[in-house]
Amino acid sequence: MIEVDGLRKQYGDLVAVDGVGFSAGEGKIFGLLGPNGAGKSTTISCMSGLLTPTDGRVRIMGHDIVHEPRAAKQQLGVVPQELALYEDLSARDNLTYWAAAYGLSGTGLRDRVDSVLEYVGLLDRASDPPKAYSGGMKRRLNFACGVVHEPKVLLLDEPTAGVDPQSRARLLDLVRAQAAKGTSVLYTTHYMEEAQELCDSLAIIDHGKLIAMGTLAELRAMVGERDLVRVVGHFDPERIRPALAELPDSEVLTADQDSVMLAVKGAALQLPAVLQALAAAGGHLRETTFTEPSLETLFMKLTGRELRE
Amino acid sequence: MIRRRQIFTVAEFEFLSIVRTKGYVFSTLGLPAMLLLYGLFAGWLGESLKSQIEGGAKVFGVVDRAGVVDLRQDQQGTLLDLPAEVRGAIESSGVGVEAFGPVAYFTDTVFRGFDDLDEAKAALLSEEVVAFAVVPDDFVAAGAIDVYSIDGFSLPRRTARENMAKMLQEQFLQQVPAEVRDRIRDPVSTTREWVVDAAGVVSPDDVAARILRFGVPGAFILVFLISLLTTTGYLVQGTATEKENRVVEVLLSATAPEEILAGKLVGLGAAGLLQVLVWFSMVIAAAVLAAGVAMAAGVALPVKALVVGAVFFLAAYFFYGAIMLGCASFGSSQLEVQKLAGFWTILAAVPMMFLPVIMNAPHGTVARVLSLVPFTAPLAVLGRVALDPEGMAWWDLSLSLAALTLSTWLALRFGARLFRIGLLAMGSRPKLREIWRQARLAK
Ligand SMILES: Nc1ncnc2c1ncn2[C@@H]1O[C@H](COP(=O)(O)OP(=O)(O)OP(=O)(O)O)[C@@H](O)[C@H]1O
Ligand SMILES: [Mg+2]
Repeated sequence: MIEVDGLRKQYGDLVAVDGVGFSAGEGKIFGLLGPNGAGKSTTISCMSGLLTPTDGRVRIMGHDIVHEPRAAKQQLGVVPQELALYEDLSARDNLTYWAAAYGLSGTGLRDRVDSVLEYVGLLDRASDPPKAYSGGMKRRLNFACGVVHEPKVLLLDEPTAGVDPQSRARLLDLVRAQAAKGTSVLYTTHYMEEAQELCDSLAIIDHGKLIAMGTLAELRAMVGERDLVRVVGHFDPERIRPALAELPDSEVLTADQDSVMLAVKGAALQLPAVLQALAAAGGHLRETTFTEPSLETLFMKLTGRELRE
Repeated sequence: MIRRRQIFTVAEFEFLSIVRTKGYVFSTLGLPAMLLLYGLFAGWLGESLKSQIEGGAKVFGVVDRAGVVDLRQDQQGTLLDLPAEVRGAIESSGVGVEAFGPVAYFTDTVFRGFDDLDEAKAALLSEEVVAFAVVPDDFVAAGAIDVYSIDGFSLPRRTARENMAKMLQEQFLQQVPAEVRDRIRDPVSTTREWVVDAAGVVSPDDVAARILRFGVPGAFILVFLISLLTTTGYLVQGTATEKENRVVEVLLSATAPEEILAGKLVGLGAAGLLQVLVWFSMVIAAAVLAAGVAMAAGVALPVKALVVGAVFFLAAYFFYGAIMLGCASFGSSQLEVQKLAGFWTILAAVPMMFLPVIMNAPHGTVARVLSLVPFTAPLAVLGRVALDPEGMAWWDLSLSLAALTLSTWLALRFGARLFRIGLLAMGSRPKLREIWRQARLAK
């Protein structure tokens, strides 16, 4: 059980996290989707007790992270965005240290370390140090370190950053398996595909604020039935906006000199009209794409920017 | 509340990871072994060099224009001033005059006279002589000679030149009465030292004993300082690792900063202590051989100093260690960490400057004050106890220890706060004011 309420973190004048609140029950995966610098890692650091929140509260299995840090942390597993491994120690030694730090000992510790190594598929490479691992293997070991003590709550900060599709699929399976065991998972990412594929409910964060939250279906509904149309070329934004405004069931999300972005209902049918209007307004078109309603569209609609710039 | 289990886990980990490094094994076992090997090698080298030098005498030519040297035949070390009966006794014993170093003053050089420059030059080119000197007309007034050789840097030529000076000196000495020759060669050959105490009683000053009495505490303090520096060095080295690989971020979700700090202090301290013990036992093994000599000179084994040293070492280690770790935790790279801790390393060595003062007056005001200041107390107290084991009263000792213990406790608390802030201050280094504010807020 994760409960976050009115969380706020300030670095000097910069408000990195601004009134974030959400919750995730047992066995649920909550996704936090946002671009670079949105405040995802800061949120996780506040939740894991690494940072003291400026305001708001975080409860892990009912324990306040600030006031009962020990009880809360005992239930908590963290997989940081940056690899946190002793590069020169074997994978087994790395895991053994974390397990011991979380209070395991003796044969219980050894068994647990072996089973986690098997779980992430690294048992046959257990004696090798991470510096001899591939990027995907390091990520899996990093993940293993976060779950070695079987936490009830798991905080994952972009655990798939920079890995190949194969390792990514494997990591996502591991996350699902954790949730299936009843663990509450917070999963941050800036890949909307991952969020769509994995999460029971999710929130979109930008500039420290949650700008949308709900289940995938709820969020899709917010976008409406509209597709996302993107046209690249050379435009005069001043002339384009009024020209496009006359089109039915469409909304200009962004318009600048090089590209125009619209939310359009039934784009397949409307596309000719859109292109015509653009050309009539003096635009030079080079490339057009349109996509079905997605979190990407929602993010664009809410912020006027692309998720990955 | 600090959990002992967590401290032990961290300590065990830190201990094992440092002890297993090649650098540690090398400096613990390899260093003394290397020193031993080096000693053996140097000894062998010295012997072989000596035999080489003594192997063959080098011939050195002399063109004497000033007429100060009598070189009608080759000259090679003489027993100029030995009384005839001594000289006779030596020669009849078959040892050979060369065995008497100071007297046979240039046995490795043969001086050979030449009539003119060309003749000497020819001898040089045909390698009959390694070099030759021209003693000009005005030598007695000016004291300058000209030396000619093929290779300006040859060692035999250098010693030959020194011997040349000695030979000239001996030649001139022939002109003064025999009784004063020795005084000109070596004006003060021995000094007998006496001490006069407050009551006016004069007693001989035993130089050997004095050297041992000051030397032992000096060496003791040096070893203490080196041990302190290596041990705290491991501490600092171990902090950068976590900051660089960002493991702290995870470690802190399982363990409190105070527990990490304590674990590191204990684990790395144990590693440093182990190293010091290995070194010490090697030194003691070597000293056992020399012990007889020391006992004979009236030097008691500094048992009290050893005990006091051990206690103060631990306190000093925790005192400096906590402060250094606290500061080092603000660095985000090996280099930065070293810089942040370097200041304290220097501070730890500063008391060495006061050593002469303490040696002069082990229980004077300066020594007493230094014994109460936590930064200087360990070395000061150790110096005092080592110098004068009975002179430092128990209450005096206890007072120092109490002051140091209190400071260590404060340092641990302060260090832990700094450590907590430092570890959490990822990336950007916080401003001093911010650190101060947080240090006061941290519970
Ligand atoms: N230690 C710090 N001091 C000052 N500002 C910080 C610090 N850490 C993060 N920030 C700022 O806080 C904001 C949020 O950063 P955060 O790391 O939480 O973003 P993120 O969502 O995790 O981004 P990314 O996807 O790149 O990991 C950024 O503007 C960042 O510059
Ligand atoms: Mg991040």
